[in-house]
Parts: sequence; structure tokens; C-alpha cells
Amino acid sequence: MSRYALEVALHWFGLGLYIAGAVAITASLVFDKPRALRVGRWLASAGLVPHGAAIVLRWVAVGHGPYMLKYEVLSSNSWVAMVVLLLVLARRPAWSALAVVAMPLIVLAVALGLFSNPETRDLPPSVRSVWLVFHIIFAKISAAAFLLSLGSAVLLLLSQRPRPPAWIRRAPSAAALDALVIRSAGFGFIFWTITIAAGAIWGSQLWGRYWGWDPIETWSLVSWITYGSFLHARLFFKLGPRPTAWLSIASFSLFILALLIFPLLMHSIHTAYMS
Amino acid sequence: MIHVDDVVHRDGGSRGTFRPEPWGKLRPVKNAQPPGAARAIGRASALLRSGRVVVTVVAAICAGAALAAALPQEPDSAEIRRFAQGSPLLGRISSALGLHRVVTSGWFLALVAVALASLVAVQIDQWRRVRRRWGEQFSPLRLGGTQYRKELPLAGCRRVPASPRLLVSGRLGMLGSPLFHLGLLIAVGAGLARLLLFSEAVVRLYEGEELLPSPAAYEAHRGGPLSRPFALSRSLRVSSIEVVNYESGQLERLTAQLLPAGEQAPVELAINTPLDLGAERLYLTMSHGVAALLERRTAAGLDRTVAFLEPRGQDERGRLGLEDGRELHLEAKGRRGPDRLVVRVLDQGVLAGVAELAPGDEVATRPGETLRLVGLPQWAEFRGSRDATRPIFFAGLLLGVVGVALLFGFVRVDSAVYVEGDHVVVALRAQRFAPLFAERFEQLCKEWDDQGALSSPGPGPGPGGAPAKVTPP
Repeated sequence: MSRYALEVALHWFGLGLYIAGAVAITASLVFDKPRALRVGRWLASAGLVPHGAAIVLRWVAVGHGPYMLKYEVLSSNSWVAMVVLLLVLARRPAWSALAVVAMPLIVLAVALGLFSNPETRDLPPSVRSVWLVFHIIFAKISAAAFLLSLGSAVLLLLSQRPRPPAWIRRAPSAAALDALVIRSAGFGFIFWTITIAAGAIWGSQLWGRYWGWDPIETWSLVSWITYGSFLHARLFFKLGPRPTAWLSIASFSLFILALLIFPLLMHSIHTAYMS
Repeated sequence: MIHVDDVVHRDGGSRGTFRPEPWGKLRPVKNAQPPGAARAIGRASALLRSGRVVVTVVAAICAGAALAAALPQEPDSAEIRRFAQGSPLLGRISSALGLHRVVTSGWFLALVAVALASLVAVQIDQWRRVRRRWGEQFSPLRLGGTQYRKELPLAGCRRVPASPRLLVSGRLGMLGSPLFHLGLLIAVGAGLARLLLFSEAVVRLYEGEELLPSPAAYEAHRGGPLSRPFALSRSLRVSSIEVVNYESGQLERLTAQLLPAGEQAPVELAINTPLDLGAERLYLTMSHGVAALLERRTAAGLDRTVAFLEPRGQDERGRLGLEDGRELHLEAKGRRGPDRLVVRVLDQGVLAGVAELAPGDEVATRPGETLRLVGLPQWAEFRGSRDATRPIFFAGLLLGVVGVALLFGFVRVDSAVYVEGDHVVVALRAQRFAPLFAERFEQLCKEWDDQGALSSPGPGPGPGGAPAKVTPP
């Protein structure tokens, strides 16, 4: 079996376990079976092993971390998101309903990565910097935190419907979900700020300027300002829970556009990592 | 008896409030009615801090930045031309509205200035509030309307706290927002100062060439309106340039050994590792190749010229235009230390001659004209930068990161166990995210229960059959 075939097989194995975990957690909430919840978390945790092994295998083969090309970026982002989600659920099992929203998105990201170009690319010297490593690590963690905020926002909106689904009763209260929307977005905002700061330091080291209004750089700033505004609107201007939830969804959409979509569409110094 | 409200201050025509001094003289009470200027400042400050203004300004900046990201921006004139060719109507509209220079436009800078003024107003308010709240005495009375509160009949408790048990945690969180905004203010201020003060310059240098300490030594300059052109304080000689490629032909490593004037040992400059020369910094960009050093001898005399060849596949290629319209197409063979240069002379686009030269070789390109290859050293592009705002910007970023980490990582939580009337009260108040502190409140109740102070931490009847009063979050 070639290295690439093994990598793909491990990815699919991990993906299968994630799907099984997501199904078990959803079933546990819908049919009120607490034991299935535990099984679901274990299955998803087990999925991290083959998925992580596939990432490490690729890392060793190409000689650099998983941050070049869509295949590597999507796979590693979804692994980090799954780790963060499972850590949160391990600490707060009562928040398992978050997995109903977050896990399908993680599964989708892994699948999209698997169907994209898997060619390897040599690392140019410009992206060999410790600040770039920080830039990338914190971008991945912030994506995971924003995903949790999105999950809480979707659950909050579902619970506020005139006829909410029955399983939503087993999710945290609307007040707790509202707090979780803000706190997760807040943590994401911390990491996104560090991402932008590390990128500025890297840019200064590479080009002698810490900000250059590169299109992707600017979109990152726009998404940072959007999250900042939405947090301000909630914390200081007392925006209601429903508009806050909608703003969380809108901010996440913009964040995903800035992180994953615009680098494909625009000519930028960030193009190399996604094209 | 003089009534305070009955007295009108006549001097200067302004109306004021007076209070009688003990010895019968009248003195104005300060701040009872602030003077006109102070009132105006107060109003402006309140306006700048108002949610409507903050949201509008931030949204406008956001929209401006989105425009700058979506449309090609100056100085990338090639990209602007391509955009105008691709969408002529949009190109005309965006040019007419000045949308290709958003971040340096007056309206965008004005928005940033308003945002800065707003940040200053917010800062003053926030630091005042922190100073007021940081040292204030914590009293159970402040927990009257708290989110978590449990009351148990005093008679049913085996032991009661002799004095109120008060605990404040996460106080650092109070510094979060002011520090974040201060950092943001410093970073944005530094960014604006950079627009005025920065200077950059670019030059291509080959092995053995010297970079003189003069702005004229550079091929191109960029800078703010208040900056002076970039130049190093002393000269540098390029000792060597090393290029390492991957098997795929992609660049793996590029380094240059530079010898500063008056020094014996060279210093290394690499991509991502700039050379710090005090106020100035020198960077190595990714652009590199082989430089063809040529001497053209004509009836007019000797002309020395350099052609900068660039990597194309496995070779290095470049062009050199001559004053009579002819063009030299140059091709250095082999990427690792090329020692041959193929020269094609094109006259009006028609091939007029081909020659392969080694360093030192000479060839006649037309009657009375010869071309001699002097050498094929490596060249690389160097970028000089002077930016005094860099450390200030990074200090602002650091403060901002610390501030936002404190803001969301630390939440001030006040908790108390005390006797109120005929009840023992356990209360907890979180400054933010209150619903997320239910577990901590239960833990607090449990701790007291374990110590025997409260025998029923959970909702439901208290000891002695009397009901425990619980206020849910």
C-alpha cells in the first residue's frame, strides 16, 4: 500500500468513526438514551486516532506541517475542531447537543479535504518562520472556538422557535446557550487576535511591514472587526439573545469566507496555502 | 436666610448656584453647572461613546476595508488595469469614486480618526470605572439583586458564619476591556503614524557589488509624506549569494553574505531573517537569479551593463533592449552555477545572430560593435525599510492580546455567605456569563454543606422542615 493510499484509508476510517459518533450522540438526544451519548463521544474520540495518524504520515512525508493546500488545511482544521469539541464535552457533558451542529460540519470539512487535490508542495523559504507556526495554530483553534459559538447560536435559535423540536429540551437552557455563544466567540476572538498579531510579526520579519492591506489580510481584519462588533453589541450595548445568535452565524460565515474561500478566489500572498 | 436656589450669579451673565459659607460669604459650588466648553466636551465624549456612533463608525470602517479587499488597490497598477479590462463599467465606476485607494482616502482616514477619538473617550471612561471599582469595599448588600442566591432558615443550621464570608475572584477581568482598547488605540495610532513616516527602498544587487549609503543607490523608493528617502548609514558589499533549490526546482533557501564597511567578518542575511542596522533594516526577498555582466564596445565608447536573468524552468532568462531598437535575449544554461550565456540578437523581431559565451568571451554583434561577457554572478533583491512605529505597534498588539485574554478568560465573581435576618444566605454574582456559573454556585453550597454550615444546599425544603428560598439565575 502506498503512503498516499494509507493516508486516505486512515482519513476515511476516522471519518467513519466521526459519523458513527455524530449519529450516536444525535440518537441519544432524540431518543433520550444517555448511554448512547457516552458511546458517541468514545467513537468520535477514537476517530481522532486514525485521522491524526493520517496527518502525521503526511507531515513526515512532505517535511512540513499541515498548512499547504486545501487537503492539508481542511483535514488539520477539522481535527483541531474535533479535539476542542470533545474536550468541551468531556468537561461539560450537558452540552452534548453542541455536537449535533458541530460534528456534521467537521465531517463535511474532512470530506471536502479528501476530495481536493492531494499533491504535495515544497515549502517556500518565505513561509518558514516560527511566527507563521503560531499564526496557523491559533487560526485553527479560533476556527474551533467560533464553531462552538455557531453551534450554540443554532441551538439557541432552535429552542426559541414557536414549536421547538423535542430533543432541544435536553440541550442547555436558552440563557446558558446565550452565554455560551458569547463566551466561545470571545475565546475565538482571543485566538483570532493572536493569529492576526502573529501574522503581522511574520509580515514584518519577511517584508519589513506589519500590515500591507493584502486582500486576505484585509478580509481577516473585516472578520475580526465583525466578531469584535458583535461581542461589543452583546456585552456593552445589551443586544438581545436572538440577534446575537444571528450575528454569531453571520460572523462565522464571514470568517469561513476569509479563511477558506477568498484565498481560492483572490490573488494574494495567502493564495499558496489553499490553491 | 438665603435659599441656595434663590441666588443668581450676575458676573459675566452666567447663572450659577451658591451656598452660604459659614462666615456669611457666598462662593460658587464647583461643577454644579459646568462651563460651556466643559459641557461641550462632555457631550462630545458621550456621543463618541454612544453605541450608535461606535457601531456606525466600526461598520463603515468594516465596509471600507471590505471594499479595499475586494477591489485591486494602488500601487498594484497592473492588477487595476486587469480589473478595468475584465469589467469596464465597474472599473470606470471604481476609478471615478477613488475605490482603488480606499485606505489612503480622506473619508477612510476620517473614519479611523473618529474611531480613535471614540477609543480615547471610551478609555477615559473605562479607566475611571476600573479605578473606582478595583478598590471598593465588597459588601453583602451589593449582592441584593444577584443572579444566584439561596436562603436557609437560621434556626435549622447547626453552625452559622460568625462574620460574612466574602470572596472576590477574577478581578483581573476588570482590566481586560480597558487594556484591549488601549492596545487597539496604540496599534491604530502607530499604523497611522507609519503612513506618514515609513520609508522603503528596493535594489537588486549581484555578488561583489557594493550598496552605497545613499538613496540614489536604490532602484525604487516608497514612503510617507513626512519621511526621508531610505538609505543605510554605511556601505555594504555583497560577498556571496547562495541559492538552494528543491528537486522540483522550487526555491528552498536563499542567503546572502554581506560585509559591512570597516568590518572583517561578513554577516548573513536570509529570507525571514532581516539584518538589523539600528533604525534601518535590510530584507532579502524571494526574487533572485543570475546577473549577466556585459560590456558593449561601439564607436561611441565602452558601455557596461547588467542584465538580471530570472529562473524559468531549469534555466535563467532575461532580455536587454538596446537604444537602436534591437533586443538581446539572454539565457544562462543550468540552474546550479551556470557558466555559459546564450545570446540571441533580434533586430525588428527577426533573429540576427546567436552566440554562446563563457565569462571573458567576446562576440561581434554588428560591424564595429562587440559584446563581451564579464561574468555570471548571482543576484538577489534587497528591500530596505525604516519604520520607527514598529515597536509601538507591537506593544499595542501585545496589550490588545493581553486585554482580550483577560476580558474573556477572567470573569469577576463575587460570592458571599452571611446571615441576613433569620436566614443564612449563600449568594454569587458573576459580572458576565452568569448562566455558566451555576455549577460553581452549587459547588459553593456543597462546600458549606460539607462543613456543616448548611445542611441543604439544593432547592427544596431546608432543615427543620422550613422551605429554603432559592433565586434561580
